Amino acid sequence: MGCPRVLLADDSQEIRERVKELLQEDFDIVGSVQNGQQAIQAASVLNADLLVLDISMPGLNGIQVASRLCESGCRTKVVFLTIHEDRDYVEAAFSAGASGYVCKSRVATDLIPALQSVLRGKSFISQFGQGIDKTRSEVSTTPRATMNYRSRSAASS
Amino acid sequence: MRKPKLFGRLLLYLAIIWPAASLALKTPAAEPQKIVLALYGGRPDLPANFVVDDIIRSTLEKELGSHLDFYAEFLDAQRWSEGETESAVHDYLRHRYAQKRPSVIIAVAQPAISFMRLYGDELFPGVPVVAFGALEMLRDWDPRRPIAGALSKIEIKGTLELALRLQPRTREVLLISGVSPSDQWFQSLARKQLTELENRVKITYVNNITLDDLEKTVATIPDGTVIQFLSMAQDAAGNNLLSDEVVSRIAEKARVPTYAHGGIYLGRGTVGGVVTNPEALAHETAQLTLRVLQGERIQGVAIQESRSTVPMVDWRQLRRWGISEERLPAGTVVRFREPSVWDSYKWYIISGISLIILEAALITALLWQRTRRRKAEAELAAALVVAQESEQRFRRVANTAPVMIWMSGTDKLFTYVNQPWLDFTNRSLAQELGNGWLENIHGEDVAACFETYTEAFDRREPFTMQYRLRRHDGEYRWVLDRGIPRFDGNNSFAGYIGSCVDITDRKLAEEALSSVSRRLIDAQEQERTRIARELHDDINQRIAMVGIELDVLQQSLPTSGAVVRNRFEQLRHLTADIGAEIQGISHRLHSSKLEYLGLVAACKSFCREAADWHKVEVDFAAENISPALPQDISLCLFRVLQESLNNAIKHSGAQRFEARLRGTSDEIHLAVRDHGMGFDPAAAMISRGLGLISMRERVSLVKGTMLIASKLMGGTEITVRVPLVEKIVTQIASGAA
Repeated sequence: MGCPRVLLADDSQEIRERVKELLQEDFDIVGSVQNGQQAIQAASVLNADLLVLDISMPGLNGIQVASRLCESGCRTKVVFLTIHEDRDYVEAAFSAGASGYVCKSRVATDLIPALQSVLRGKSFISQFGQGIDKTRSEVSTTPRATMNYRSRSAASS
Repeated sequence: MRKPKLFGRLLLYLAIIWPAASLALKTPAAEPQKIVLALYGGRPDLPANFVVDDIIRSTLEKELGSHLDFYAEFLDAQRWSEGETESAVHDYLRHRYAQKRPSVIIAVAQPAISFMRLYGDELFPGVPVVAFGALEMLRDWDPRRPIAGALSKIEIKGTLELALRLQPRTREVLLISGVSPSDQWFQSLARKQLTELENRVKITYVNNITLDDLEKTVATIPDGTVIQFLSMAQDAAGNNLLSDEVVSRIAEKARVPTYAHGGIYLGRGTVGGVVTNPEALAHETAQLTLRVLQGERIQGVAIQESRSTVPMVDWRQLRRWGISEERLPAGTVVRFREPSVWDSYKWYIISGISLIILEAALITALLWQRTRRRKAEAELAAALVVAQESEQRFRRVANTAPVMIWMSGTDKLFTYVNQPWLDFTNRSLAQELGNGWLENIHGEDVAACFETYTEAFDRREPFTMQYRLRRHDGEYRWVLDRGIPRFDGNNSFAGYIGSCVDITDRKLAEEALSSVSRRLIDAQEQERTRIARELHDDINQRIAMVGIELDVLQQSLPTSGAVVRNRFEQLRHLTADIGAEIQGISHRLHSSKLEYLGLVAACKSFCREAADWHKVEVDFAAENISPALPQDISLCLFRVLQESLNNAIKHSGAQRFEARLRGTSDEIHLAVRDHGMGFDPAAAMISRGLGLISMRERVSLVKGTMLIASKLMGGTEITVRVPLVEKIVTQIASGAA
């Protein structure tokens, strides 16, 4: 069995490059796309194991991409890499079928462990809290997402 | 062939004749006719005989009907001296009644009774006799011969007593009689009856005198004397006289009143007397006759005294001699009373007076009616004047008002438009009336306009509508038309009245303002979005890159350089904070959540942030909201929620707020409510600046409606409804294309 096949989707060239550098030792970067539409097409065409997906993209955003991949029964697992350190986004991401959620501010420390966790069949959420989101108490999500979030939070804290 | 024909005819005759013959044979067996012969002593033209005959005949007829066979014979004896015509009459009657045997004979008056006494047995043997007359007339009757009768008494005394009663100052009475045997008999009867009165009055018998002398005597007798006539069949000169004619002549010439005891003299000039009432006596006689006819046998002289004698006077003679009626004894019969004007014309008078009263009533009623009508007419005229003035005033006001005014009747048809209306359309009044006004309305508006009008009309409700009305220059102008039902004085529905104003300029201004508002809002949103995107997509991405670089560098540092490592850690946190701040600013400018996560997530997030920030409780709930809402609707509802919740938190003083989003098949409802102090929405529109106005404007841009319900100290609820179907359909359609 070779390296896991990873597809990168981010509208920022710089981010894509940096992530590519970060992952290429352990992962096979099979593609790098700059919008949601391309991500959906590439995911099935390239038979990627993992899709590192940004939320804020022109056209289809990351949440919509995840939803459509999930709906289409694509086997590619989605790990979000985003600057949105906000539980609403986490909830939306897991509701759309994501397996991991990594904040860009913690990319160096969290992305590889996240991808590895996901490959093992687990979920991963970056620890955040230094940003603007201070409203953890009121978060309500789907039961599955909540459970994942809690298990991961408990494990990482 | 002839024989059978003849035989047939005979049979036919027999068939017809037999029943008739048998009927004729039966009749005599039923009841034989009663032959009654009335034998009068006097003439047939004597009024008394006429009356008596009529009463007796009609009474018998009433009882016997067709079984009566009545005959009357008149002896007219007074014209002949006694015995002179008796044998002739005897022969006459014998021949006449040879084949007709009377069942009964009624002998009326002295001559008839005398005749029956002399010849009755010979002429009518065994035939019962009923007598009519005075008791004294049977003085010579053979008591063995049966006779019946209700006979009266000759009241010579009674007559004198009546005279003295009526004329109490009488000193002398002249008793007049003739020389014939019957005259003498009356005189002797008088002498017998008047014995008792000789003390009261001087009684002078005048008998041996000629009629001429008698006339001269009575013409000169002094006052205080009365004349009482007895009988005069013959005077001293041997003249045969008729007593009633003698009475007429005496009474005419006499200076003093004349009295007589016989009923036949009444009406001949006598004042009166106590006389036999011929009607009453006739009734009594008729009843007796009936009894005899019915088989009652007469035994001897069966005479009963009649009660038919009564005081009887001639009213004309009372007047002639100035005798007061008050003196008349009770039961006096007054004859020949000239009817008074009242008696003669009673019914005419009554009718006349009734007619006059009726006419008077009618005239009064008519006058009253006329007065009332005039009053009513005057009132009506006054009312009309008032109404006309009112109408004129209304038209004056209506025609000078700066609005178009119309009126319609109960049939929805226009009955009036004012001058400004006509000036506006440049059409005639006739063209506008009825449904003519609809002709000038824009084709796209006319159906809705007519519908609004008729629906409101049928419900009798006020209405407001806007439509385009063609002006005289051909340009369609927007008018605002307000109509209300009108009622007349009796409070009954009379139609509608309405007024219109040209709102084209206002509408254009509103449209312009709305357009400006929309552009302002759009520009603001665009600018916010642009800045937010700049911050998020560019600055924030760069900050993120810096953070990533720092993170990577930190990872690659040797573990020994603790100071540098700490410094890196600080830098990384600082960078993250800057990024978060920038993201926060970006989020507030333009909610990325709304874009990426949808309306519900954005609203929920905002409510949470607001609650945290202001330390209040915000209860948010969403139900049945599609994730694929059009962006303008999402943005509108999100902005309204932001603005209204911010306002509520800022102004209401409440600690708890509710926000509800609810989707239906064709609408989305948003409600934001608090239980705070409330406010006046109209005033707030002005005083609270652009907040409420921009909310309303945003809602109107998505064709929605916004309702602000607020009560002082009663809380506030802002409700927004945004229609959905068209938008989604449009979106689906455009999406599919």
